[in-house]
Amino acid sequence: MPEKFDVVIVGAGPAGVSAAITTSKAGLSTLVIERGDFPGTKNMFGGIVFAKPTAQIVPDFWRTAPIERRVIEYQYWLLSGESHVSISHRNQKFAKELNSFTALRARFDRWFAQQAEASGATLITKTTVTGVLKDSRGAVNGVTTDRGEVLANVVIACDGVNSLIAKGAGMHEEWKPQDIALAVKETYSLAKEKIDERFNLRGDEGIAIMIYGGREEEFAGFIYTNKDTISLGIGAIMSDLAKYKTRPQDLLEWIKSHPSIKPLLEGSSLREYSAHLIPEGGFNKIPPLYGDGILVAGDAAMLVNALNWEGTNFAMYSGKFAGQTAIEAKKNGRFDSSQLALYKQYLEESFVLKDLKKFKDVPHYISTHRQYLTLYPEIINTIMYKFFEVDGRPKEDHIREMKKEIYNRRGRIGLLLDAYGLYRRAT
Amino acid sequence: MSDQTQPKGAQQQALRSASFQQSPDSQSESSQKISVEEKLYLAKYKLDERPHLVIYDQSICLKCEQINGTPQPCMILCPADVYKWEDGKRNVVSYDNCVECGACRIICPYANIEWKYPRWGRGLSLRYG
Ligand SMILES: Cc1cc2nc3c(=O)[nH]c(=O)nc-3n(C[C@H](O)[C@H](O)[C@H](O)COP(=O)(O)OP(=O)(O)OC[C@H]3O[C@@H](n4cnc5c(N)ncnc54)[C@H](O)[C@@H]3O)c2cc1C
Ligand code: SF4
Ligand code: SF4
Repeated sequence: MPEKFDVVIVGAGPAGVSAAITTSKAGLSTLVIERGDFPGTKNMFGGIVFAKPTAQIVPDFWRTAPIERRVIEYQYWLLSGESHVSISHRNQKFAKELNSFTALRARFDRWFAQQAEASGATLITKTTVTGVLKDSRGAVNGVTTDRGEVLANVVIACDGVNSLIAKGAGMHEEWKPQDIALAVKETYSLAKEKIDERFNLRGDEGIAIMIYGGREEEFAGFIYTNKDTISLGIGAIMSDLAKYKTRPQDLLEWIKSHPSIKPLLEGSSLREYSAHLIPEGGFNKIPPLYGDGILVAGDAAMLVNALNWEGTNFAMYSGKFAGQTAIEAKKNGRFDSSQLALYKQYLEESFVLKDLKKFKDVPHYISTHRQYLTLYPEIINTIMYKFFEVDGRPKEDHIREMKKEIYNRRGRIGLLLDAYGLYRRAT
Repeated sequence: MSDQTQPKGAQQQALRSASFQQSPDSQSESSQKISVEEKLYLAKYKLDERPHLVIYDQSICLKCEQINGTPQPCMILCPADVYKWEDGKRNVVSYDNCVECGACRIICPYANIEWKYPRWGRGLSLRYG
């Protein structure tokens, strides 16, 4: 007979570990199965982790967590051919009360999983879950792995964006290329003092830069400062890459060679190259979240707010709610889907489904209205150029040219429609 | 079940000192184009001798080439150059370059790739992530 646990969790990412801490703290026997050498070795993100969600799971996390830098400044860039326009917000409040911090997953996830073990969960690594086991009534009651089988009252699939466990259990079909972004990232080492100087930082202050525009493909680029490394990457919707026949590695080379970005990497050395998918379908594409004996959390359930690049927080909260659902189910001694439906209720009452629902039409709206990606970044860059340009002619001429340029490119009505369209969907 | 790192290590060392280090006055290395193959040498990798990526039917890849031209979708999207169209008739899969993202499985219009994770945690092991 295989061993049996109250809860078997597939994957030791933010979702799985949050679920494990929740259930093991409540005394449920909890097994986490992770395929990496140790948690984090298979995972890549931008990126930043948010403080408040992390504190929900590990209240005094800042004492021991492998924080790279505290983010005190957020920047948004709109690129055009050889220019960019940026909006930035730097605030010492972020230094006093931590809002987010940069992290490297091979370190952060490993630390996070140790907290689950400290709460009493069992973690096994280097083990790939290959599918779910079902009882005679078709309810999930365990998993198969490449090292044997394990039984469970509840399986929580936290296996990330590929979501092979829920797919294998028949809960949903393969994702569509238009709902998934493919991102490539490079990590560069650079002396801490150089990073401080280059980005105007002190101590453990850090910066987060999001980059948009300047290409036909729907993409987002990013730069994050770590202690003595810089994370730089770019992701684009998969169907766009296929449509424009753009290789993701070429997109990365393109953004690295942009004159606004290239100097930021000067003198650094490449340390790592990696790639990862991001589920960006939003609210309308969320698959079934529960079934008989099974719950799905984090990326595996498409719980990501692609607009703000929030994923780890959705993973942590959904993992926690899945854990709480397992605790209630154990109390009632029932693990069928009507009992586990509680999970959806928890998600609906929280920001997880509220936020995703609020912005549900934005991803589709932007991808079908390409002017936001190419035309507007260019127009805005032109406006700024004309604004700052001094050439001995009256400013009035500049303004007239600016207006002409904009109306020519999009027209008054188009402009109004675009502004209204985006406003309606994003507010 | 040996847990050895692939001999990529030696080459990796050489590459590090050769092309990734530079004198302070030289141009940024980001200006030099480094191939994906070279970038992958930086990674720690343990091979699962059983391929975790398998083409179900090569004749479908041929059909795919006739419809979509080459490079086919899997070759465009794969960030690790795993798929190569050889002799105009065969999709050769260098699964030992795979960074396990899953893009090829989703983009293949004919679901023609048998896609698994390598066994026992093998494959790519990130140091930063
Ligand atoms: C380029 C990029 C940038 C991002 N930037 C940010 C950011 O700045 N901030 C932010 O909050 N979010 C960001 N995200 C999103 C965020 O990384 C994810 O939403 C989050 O990691 C999801 O957590 P998870 O636990 O659901 O999945 P994952 O973190 O993917 O964890 C899944 C785990 O399951 C394991 N696993 C998978 N299959 C199996 C199996 N069959 N058997 C055993 N183990 C298995 C994996 O090895 C992994 O450890 C970014 C994502 C990407 C790709
Ligand atoms: S996309 Fe699919 S069918 Fe086309 S060549 Fe690649 S594997 Fe073959
Ligand atoms: S999983 Fe990613 S890296 Fe591996 S072959 Fe497919 S596309 Fe390439």
